[in-house]
Amino acid sequence: MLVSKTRIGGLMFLLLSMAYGYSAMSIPLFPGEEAEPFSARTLPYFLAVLGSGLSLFLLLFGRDGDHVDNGVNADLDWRLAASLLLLMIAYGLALEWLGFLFATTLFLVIGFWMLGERRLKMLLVVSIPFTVGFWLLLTQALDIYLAPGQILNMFGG
Amino acid sequence: MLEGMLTGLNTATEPFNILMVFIGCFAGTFIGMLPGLGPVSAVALMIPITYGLDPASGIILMAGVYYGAVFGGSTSSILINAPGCSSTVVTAFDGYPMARNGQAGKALAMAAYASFSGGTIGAIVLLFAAPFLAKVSLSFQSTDYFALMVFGLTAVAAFSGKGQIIKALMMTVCGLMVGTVGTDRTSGVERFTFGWVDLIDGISFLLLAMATFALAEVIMSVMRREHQDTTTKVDASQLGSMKLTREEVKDVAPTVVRSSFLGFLVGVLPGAGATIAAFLAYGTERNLAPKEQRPLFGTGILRGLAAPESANNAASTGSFVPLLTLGIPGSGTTAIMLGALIAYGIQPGPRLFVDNPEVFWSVIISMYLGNIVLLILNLPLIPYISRLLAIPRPILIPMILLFSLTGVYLVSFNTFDIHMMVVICIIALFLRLLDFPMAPMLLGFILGGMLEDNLRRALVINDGSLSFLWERPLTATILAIAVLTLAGPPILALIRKKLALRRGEFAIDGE
Repeated sequence: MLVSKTRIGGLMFLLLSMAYGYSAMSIPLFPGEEAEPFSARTLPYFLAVLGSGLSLFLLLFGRDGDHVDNGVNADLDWRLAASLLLLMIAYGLALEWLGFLFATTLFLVIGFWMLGERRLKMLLVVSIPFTVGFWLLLTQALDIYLAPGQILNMFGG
Repeated sequence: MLEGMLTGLNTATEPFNILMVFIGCFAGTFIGMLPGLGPVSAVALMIPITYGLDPASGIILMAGVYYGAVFGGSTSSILINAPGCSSTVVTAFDGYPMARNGQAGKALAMAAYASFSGGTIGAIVLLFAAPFLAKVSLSFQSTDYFALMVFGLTAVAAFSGKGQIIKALMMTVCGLMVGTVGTDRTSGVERFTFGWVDLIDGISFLLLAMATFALAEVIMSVMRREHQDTTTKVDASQLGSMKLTREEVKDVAPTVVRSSFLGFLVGVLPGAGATIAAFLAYGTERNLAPKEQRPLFGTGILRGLAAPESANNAASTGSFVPLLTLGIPGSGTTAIMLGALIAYGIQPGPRLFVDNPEVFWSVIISMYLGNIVLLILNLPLIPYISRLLAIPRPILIPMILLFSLTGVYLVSFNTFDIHMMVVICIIALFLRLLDFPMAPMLLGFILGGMLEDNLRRALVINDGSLSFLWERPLTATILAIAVLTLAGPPILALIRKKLALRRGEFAIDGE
């Protein structure tokens, strides 16, 4: 059997549908609800069956569409994409610990740098005024409370 | 109806709402112009901003962003042959050759006029079609709604392209599955939360839309190394004249009218949307053109540019018909607007026309304003706006990422959401690489709740019997249409293949 993108997707969805159906069995029901025509489990069960059916079909008969050109996926910059994703995760953590101002400035500077901007002046001239402006807009103009970072709390009391 | 219209006119012409149209069109044009970011992402990026506005202003802003983005996409198609979204791919067929022939100014002006005409004709038809359809759909019951939702979901899959139908259906089911995460609306029990407090409220629609569209699209473009493209430098001084001669206008006018109506009709069909409208209009015009003109399509002629531009704008307007009257979005973009309306506590559908006439009518009327604003904003500003294309990608990409992340964070103030976004984005990236379409998933997610409610109601009313599916004529008809749209194209293709085979046999026999 040929391994195609569609078949990989089909296999993934088959596993997902089965896991979904399995965990649907543990959705709590009220006493006597089993006899009701519709409970909290009805739609999930139906979706699990439908999803399994569709993914089986993909797995067995799936062919990649006509428009697919596999050359596109050959030369992908996985490293950069992965580092940007990691940067976003780090931003989520930094927001909590460092607060909006520091986290956002760092996010922008590192992001610019990752994408190839190496001039220090450019890195700072864009990110700092932008972050401060955005922060002012949020806190002063839109009156949104942004919690300061927990580290600042530790030092500032 | 007249009263409603006047209310709408009143709301739409409030200075604040006019400002929203301006901001929407401008922001939309800008975002739509960035290669890779289409109307869906543009509208998704606006959601957090609209949370602070009242429903009418919010939707007016989003609608402005929508048609602004469609127009902006055509600007980048024409100038740098990099369509901002799929619906402006066709625009590049003739627009980019024109720009290379030194007629960039003319091409941009034509695109602006054609978009204006398409949008305006679409808005006029909408003005009459929407209330009519809304009145008809007032007699719908929960069984019919259930059938309609099924139709909406299958139609999206059916229009998703060759060999993609099953994949699109799978993504729809996947969206429905994601929609079941969280607390069940009727019984109040938790489903698929696995004990996580952050999942009790379910996955937020904004988060899902941002992660699967805005974030995934940007990361995808980075992965394809599009940010290293150095060809994006545009020299605004070389746009050339922006004037159209009288003969050219005369030549193009019938094309614009035809394509607008065609575009509107295609836009009304759930799932078809602006891309198919643009392709159809281009194909139709090429078939209608005199024989000696046909080979010129693709070399940079005005008709080839006017057709897709009027059609895609008319289709964006048309896709508001099912959204406003039936509560079924016709495209990924209107799906996001549906989500935003629901977040406001407004249920789009036939009752919208009765319960919130100011929203219903002001959106329609703001479309006229939006089209005028687009024209007066874009014609003189095109040379300046196109300079934005020269902002270096390394600066732009982190900013778009930041806006997407903060857009979600500033609604919930929960950093868990940022991490969840990244996880969903990674899943979306893999699915994109495997050529699974994203829009059906979003649609399934949004319609899932309503689908379940209506099915539950229908089943309870009918004592648990599924007989309503075939006993109520309206329900049965809608379901039959749904089955036809889904099964029609593959069956037709099969018949065609058989016929071609037979013809081939005859040809061999005849040899």
